[in-house]
Amino acid sequence: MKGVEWFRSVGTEKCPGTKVFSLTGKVKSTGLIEVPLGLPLSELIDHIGGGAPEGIRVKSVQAGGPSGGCIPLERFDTPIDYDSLKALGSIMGSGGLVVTDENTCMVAFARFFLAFTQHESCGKCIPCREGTKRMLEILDRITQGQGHLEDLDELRNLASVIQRTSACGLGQSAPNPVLSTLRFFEKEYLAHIQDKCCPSGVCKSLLTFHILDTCRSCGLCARNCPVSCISGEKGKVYLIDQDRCIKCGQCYRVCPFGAVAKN
Amino acid sequence: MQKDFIELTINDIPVWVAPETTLLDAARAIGVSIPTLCHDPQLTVTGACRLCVVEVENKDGTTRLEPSCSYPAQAGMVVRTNTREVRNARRVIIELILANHPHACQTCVRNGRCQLQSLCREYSIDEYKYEGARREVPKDTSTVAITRHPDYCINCGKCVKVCREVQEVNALEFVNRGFSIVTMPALNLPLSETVCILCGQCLLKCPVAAIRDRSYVREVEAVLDEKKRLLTVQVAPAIRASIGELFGLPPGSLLTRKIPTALRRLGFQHIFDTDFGADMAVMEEGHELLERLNAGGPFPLITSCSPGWVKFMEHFYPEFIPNMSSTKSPQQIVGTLTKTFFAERRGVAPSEVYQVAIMPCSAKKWEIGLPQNSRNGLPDVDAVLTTREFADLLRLHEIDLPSLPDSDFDLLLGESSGAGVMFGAPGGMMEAALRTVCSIIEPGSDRLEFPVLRGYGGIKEGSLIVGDTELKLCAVHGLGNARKVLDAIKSGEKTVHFLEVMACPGGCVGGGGQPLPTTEDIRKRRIEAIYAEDRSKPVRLSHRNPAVQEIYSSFLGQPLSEKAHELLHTGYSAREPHGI
Ligand code: SF4
Ligand code: SF4
Ligand code: SF4
Ligand code: SF4
Ligand code: SF4
Ligand code: SF4
Ligand code: FES
Repeated sequence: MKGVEWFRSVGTEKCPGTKVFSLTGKVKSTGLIEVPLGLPLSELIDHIGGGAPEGIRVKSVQAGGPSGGCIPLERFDTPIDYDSLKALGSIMGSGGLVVTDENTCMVAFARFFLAFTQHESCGKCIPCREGTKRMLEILDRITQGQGHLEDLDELRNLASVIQRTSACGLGQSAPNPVLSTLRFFEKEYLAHIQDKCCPSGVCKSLLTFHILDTCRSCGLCARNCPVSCISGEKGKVYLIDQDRCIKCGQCYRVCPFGAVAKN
Repeated sequence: MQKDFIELTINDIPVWVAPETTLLDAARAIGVSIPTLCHDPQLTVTGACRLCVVEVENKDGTTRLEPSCSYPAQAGMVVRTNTREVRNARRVIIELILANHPHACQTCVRNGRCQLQSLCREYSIDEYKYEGARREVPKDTSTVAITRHPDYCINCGKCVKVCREVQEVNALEFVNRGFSIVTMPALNLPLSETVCILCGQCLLKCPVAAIRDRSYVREVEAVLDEKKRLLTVQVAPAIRASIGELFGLPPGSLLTRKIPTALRRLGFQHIFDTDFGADMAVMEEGHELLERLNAGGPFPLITSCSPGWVKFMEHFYPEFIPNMSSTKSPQQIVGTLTKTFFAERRGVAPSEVYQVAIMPCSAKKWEIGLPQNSRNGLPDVDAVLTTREFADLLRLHEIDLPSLPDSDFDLLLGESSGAGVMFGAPGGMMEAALRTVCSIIEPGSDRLEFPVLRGYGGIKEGSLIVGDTELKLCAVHGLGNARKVLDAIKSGEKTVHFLEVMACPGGCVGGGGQPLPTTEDIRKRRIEAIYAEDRSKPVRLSHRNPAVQEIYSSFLGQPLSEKAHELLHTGYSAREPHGI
């Protein structure tokens, strides 16, 4: 309506104009927003999104949809334009912005997006068709506590070959979530591999629920367990049968005394 | 002059190429051979495997990887084909293929002649790197000629493309997508229930063992061991010009007189020559042409010696059935005469005689099973071995073909003229027939070579004045070419009196049973060998072949006689499914 001149007067010199984003995840107000290019991420998340809800610590934002990359909190001063996002291993892509917090496991998060693109591969070219499958299998192993240290180099190598040789944008960008999380959240990968632990408590295979000595044997957990794997009697600490536990977390949530621990 | 060329550098070597040249071809021009899996000069480019990637420098000094098979050379380009990154990318691609491929080289028919295997060696792949899920699709052993093994398929797409673009049969398709993608007939039908004509061109293009011969080596081995039946064999014209390649000789090497020695060592008692059957086919089909010239049609008379073509015609163009020559193929003529004339002369029951046909063709395996090619429940030809299977059988029996002494085929069904051997070259069947037809119409005018029918053109056309008739000739190979000509004949755009159709590109020298690799260049060299063989023959006209004369005088009477019709002619019918 206002013409090209006006549109170009907004934004940055190299990336003039505005862009519509879909802001979701751990912010107070989510939704579609249109902002001038070049706006710092923090501005967008804190002002427009209203920042994180009470008691939540923002960890990163996945920019660009499933083929985009994860940008950590420390880099929220980054202006949103094509080149700056690219420099961080992310893309403008679909304009999706998913804000994550401490309860998001970045390995599982990357795996989730890769599973999506892997499923969407048309199958024409080998790097995308076969490579995303193998990356996904490696991530599966890591999130199940069966990863090896060498897997990280393997992921990086596969990712770079897939990026550089795939025939179309889908394959070329599919590894972004993995590469960017490897770059900014390698610690989380290492925790899964070396400590066999998921710091955010998301990866079920790496989770165990225990009942602590503070158990008052109220039996609430046992009544709520969907697979009835908690047993106990009055006056004794209840016990979880680890072989049958499906790690649903129900006991952890219902225990009125905080006697169920997860780690 | 210079304007038509662009300059670029490949591995720091300056190269001048015509615009539109691919980086792959530009590199080849300076002796850099980049590996490929999905690229083939006869097929459209799809850039599917990405194995051929090379490094291209961007303006800002950074680099990118591009597939050289599909990327056009541009002026000033700086290309590197063998950097560390490029080698790493190719290695990863090979390792990714292996992760989804049976680890079964020892028991694989392609062992030793597999492009994937060679690549593993070239890129020193020494372990299976990625373990994980494999695509599992059942094999398809429904046809008598070729079998499909999708577990081995690397999805290069060449089978789909050759079937679609060269043969225009469209029997194969990509099915599913992503990790589950696989090439197979539409609706996952068994190949035997499709319009597939069993030409085997897909097998020739397949870089791995995903498409194979249905092998009859074991069966023939057993019969040879038993020695219960009278063992006879016939050898197609194209074999002598190609089998040497499977023993390390260059394409175009002729081993005509080694073959009978080898067959005798295998234990065959009577060594016949399909060339003789070709001479007989010339007599019968030549007289069909003469009859039609007298009767004024129907034209064109269309050759029927290529079973791939016959099956194609029955699926796609049954309206041309009245045009088809009713003469059997040379293979079936030799088969029939073996089980009738020869058995009679030897005083043995046809059931006592076993006949193997050594053929360049996978569709010949289908042909021997047709009901019209059996007599009292006994097939005229008992087993077909392709050129490749023949070489396997020889190796199994420790026979090193090139170092054998020479010997000759046996009388009578092993005696042939130069015309007979011409059936191995595209246009050769027609040329052979015309030699005889011309000399019948114009006695004494020995016309031996018909330049319009020579060479590799897919559609060769010309006209021939013989007597007071002008004959319009057309010879095609590859069924895509056949479609063009048949459609033009149907629409009235083209008038043809005599049409030769060979299903396979290059005719029988390029048949689906021939040695791997079978490229255009190799086909051409085999054709030259066929021409040389013809020129070296003392008799070059079928009707002057003494064995042919003897068969007619002592057994069949005249060409097209009642007995000849009974034994040497056949019929056709529309075949389901009807092709489009
Ligand atoms: S990169 Fe593109 S063309 Fe290649 S398989 Fe993936 S989606 Fe298909
Ligand atoms: S985590 Fe779920 S399944 Fe496991 S013990 Fe608790 S309630 Fe039962
Ligand atoms: S197709 Fe090639 S790589 Fe595969 S098993 Fe056979 S020989 Fe080995
Ligand atoms: S044998 Fe011939 S017709 Fe059949 S699928 Fe292969 S190329 Fe197509
Ligand atoms: S069957 Fe062979 S030619 Fe066809 S796509 Fe698979 S590997 Fe390629
Ligand atoms: S051209 Fe020759 S090899 Fe091909 S189908 Fe016909 S007879 Fe067989
Ligand atoms: S050969 Fe170039 S992409 Fe396959």
